[in-house]
Amino acid sequence: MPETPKCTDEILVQKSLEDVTFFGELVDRFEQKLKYYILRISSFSEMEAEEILQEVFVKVWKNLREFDGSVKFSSWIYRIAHNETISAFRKSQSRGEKEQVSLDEELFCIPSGELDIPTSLDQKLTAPLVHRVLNGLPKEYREVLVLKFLEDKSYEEISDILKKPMGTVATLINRAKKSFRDSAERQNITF
Amino acid sequence: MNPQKLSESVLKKIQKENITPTGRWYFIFKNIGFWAVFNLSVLLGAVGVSVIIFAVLETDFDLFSHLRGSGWSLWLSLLPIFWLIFFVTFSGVALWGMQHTRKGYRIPTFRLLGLNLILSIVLGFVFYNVGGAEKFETIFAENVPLYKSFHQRRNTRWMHPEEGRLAGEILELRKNKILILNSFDRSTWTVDYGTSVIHIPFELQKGHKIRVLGTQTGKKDFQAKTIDLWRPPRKMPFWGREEREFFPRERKPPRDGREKSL
Repeated sequence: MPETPKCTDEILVQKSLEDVTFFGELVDRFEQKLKYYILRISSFSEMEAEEILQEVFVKVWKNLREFDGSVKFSSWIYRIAHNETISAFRKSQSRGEKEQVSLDEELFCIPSGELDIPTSLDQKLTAPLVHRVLNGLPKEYREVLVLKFLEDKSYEEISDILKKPMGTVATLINRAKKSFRDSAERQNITF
Repeated sequence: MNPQKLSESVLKKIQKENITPTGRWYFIFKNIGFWAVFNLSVLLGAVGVSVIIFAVLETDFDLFSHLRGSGWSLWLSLLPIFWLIFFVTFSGVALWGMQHTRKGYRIPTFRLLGLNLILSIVLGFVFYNVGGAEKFETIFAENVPLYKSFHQRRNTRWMHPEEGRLAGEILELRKNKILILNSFDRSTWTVDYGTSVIHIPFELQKGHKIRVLGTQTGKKDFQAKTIDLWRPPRKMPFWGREEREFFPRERKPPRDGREKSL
């Protein structure tokens, strides 16, 4: 596979369209991030997440010419990953499959100081609790909290990923934060 | 599965199944398609608005005190419900179309709705002023079964002399304030308008189409209380579209607009 260490994602997209082998590098760049993202917003196992991920990259390849640079490539690829995960989740629900929740808790390490988590606390200690609270939240709240605090995306990026206006994203994040606090209180979880 | 394996397996799948990226034109046409849906829906919404304006201006509000029936049923019978639903439906389709354009999701829903409403109302007024509303409604009534045009419904409302409503064309003006009226259902009526109030800014003439509120006094005799033109001349608030077709061809109304009673 050709080495392109200083290429931006956008240039790599152009190169991929000329030579499919460059697409492998795009896969490498986003594989881990997207896998974590899929695991954070769903309750799929790692193996299921990897299957979804493969479908995500095939879909990215099929739609690569749709990407026109009007949004960041990372936002565009996260959007596809998001849609594929939701689609896979619906399929699994229609098959009556139960949610799988035994995940690596470190995926839920929220930086201290965010979501009312005191800076003095160890992220590794709070991660299982964050995971438990997030798991009990409605899907749309969970999505925005994951994107904002675990994926560290800006409001504009979240808007592009979820295809929602920025004002709606801001409102959702505020409501989600309140819901997170309330849910934590109900479960007697204090950070 | 390690990262190397995934990229390899993805490339392998792409090459094995000969998967190629969809052409850019597909996405361009898809975007154009959603814009077309938006524009077409705004236009159709505007047609709906123009017909609603037409329906409101066609409503004889002076009838309310004369019509029988409960207030609500009367209002409902006069409201252009079909066209309100038509407008709301196409506003929804316009919203859907815009939200599916490439960057449409960035615009808040209330702003999109506001934009759609403003465009539809402005275009609706334009459409009404150029006479499109009436033509569209007529074509619609001719081609859609069960749909009765506002004209048909209005004619029906005014063909009830037993309930004090009569409309038609003046055939003859006689002495002692008597006129002969050919009603729209082609009966000849003798109308006494000696004590009536005439809301017409010029003298009655043969050929005028009028509507009369009053009392039926004989088999084909009618005592008028008020007389109005069947379709009074009106101007739209933005620019004038006078409906001169309802005046006799040989004479136009005087410019001073005085109200005369005969």
